[in-house]
Amino acid sequence: MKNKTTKTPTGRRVFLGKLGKVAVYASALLGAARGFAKGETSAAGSFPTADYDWTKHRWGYGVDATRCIGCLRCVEACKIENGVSNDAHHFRTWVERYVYVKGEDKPRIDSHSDPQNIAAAGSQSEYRFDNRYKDEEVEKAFFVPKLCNHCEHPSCVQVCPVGATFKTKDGAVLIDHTYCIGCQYCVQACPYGARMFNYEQQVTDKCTWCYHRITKGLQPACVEVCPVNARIFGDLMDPASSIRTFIRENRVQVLKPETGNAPTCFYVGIDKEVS
Amino acid sequence: MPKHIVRLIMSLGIVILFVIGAKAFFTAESFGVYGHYRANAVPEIASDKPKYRGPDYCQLCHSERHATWSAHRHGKVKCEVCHGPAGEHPATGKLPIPSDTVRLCSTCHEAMPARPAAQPQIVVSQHSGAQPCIACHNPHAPRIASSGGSVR
Repeated sequence: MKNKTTKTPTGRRVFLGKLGKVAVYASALLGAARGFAKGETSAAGSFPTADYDWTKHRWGYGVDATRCIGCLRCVEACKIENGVSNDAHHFRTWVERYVYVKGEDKPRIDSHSDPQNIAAAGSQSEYRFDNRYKDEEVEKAFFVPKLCNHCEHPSCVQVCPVGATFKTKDGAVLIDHTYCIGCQYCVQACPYGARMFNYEQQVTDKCTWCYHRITKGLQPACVEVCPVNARIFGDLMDPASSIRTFIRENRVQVLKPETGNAPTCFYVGIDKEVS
Repeated sequence: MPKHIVRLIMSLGIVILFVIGAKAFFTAESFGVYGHYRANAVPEIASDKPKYRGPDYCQLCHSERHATWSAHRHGKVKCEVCHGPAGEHPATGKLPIPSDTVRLCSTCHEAMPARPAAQPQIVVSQHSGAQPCIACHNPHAPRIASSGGSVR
């Protein structure tokens, strides 16, 4: 009788012990298999395409606001290249005009989506700054091109609840449109207002640095069309690249450094009011 | 061990197995390979076709025009800035030759506060009457030799 009562728990204990061991081995095997699968993808060739390895590049972007002439060809090229919806209020890149009129404390700021500029352009799919300040006494004025800053610590990525937006190994912050659920947390989280919502597809959209172009050795469309080299793009890993030269030869700054986002878009020639 | 505890452990085990199975079923194939995202999204985004082809592409056929353009002051203004993206041109048809040159040229050359001083600028209404820009300027070689310099 005594034997029987002690035997049953021992058997169960042995069984549970074995079960535990099996679980440990199984998880170790699974882990190894996963690790092997990972190793295989990187060993099989370059990622993301056959002739482009994202571990060999680290992209950076420069904006020289002292050169920008406000022609908005970049905005147009971006829209066409990336098929961004054809109205003035959805855009991946934009240009702001800062005008300090004599006797005023703050600059007047407008961009292509301002109603007067849309009127000057003739339609929402054309882009033009009107000449509204030609008769004003202007103390100081300049244009500032803007786009996603492709931050080192992107707050948009941090808040995404489904892992639909992420930072690539070569530095771009991208959106997986098939995974995005359209909650727009990221639109709220971006301190630079660089994200917008695509109502037709019900997904968030933003600048990709023309990832489909840079992975083919081309420049982003906005950089390609800029007639005055106000936009600079290149590989931070390459000491001879245009972006490294730009950073070396200028005193560059980033927008809103206090956010801790650590942008990889570097600005030259902007003012205290620009953020 | 008491029976009710065994039942609890077993049902907990079933729930855990179900959760693991559901996660495996609902998580996309390449999710988590490089980070908390679907790795296959990257080659998908990278596979888009560029629409702006660059002057080297234009040069393949328009070498003469390319030579004139690249040797003159507009050599930094790429073909596609004025003619639009090449895309699959010539297969898809002709690219536009801008007709309203005053409107096109003034996009960059209309005198405007905020434009840097280095940019050649004109007051459109005082520059040439109502003449189109191309009456005097060749858009591919815009400087007029007799003027001796840039016009303000």
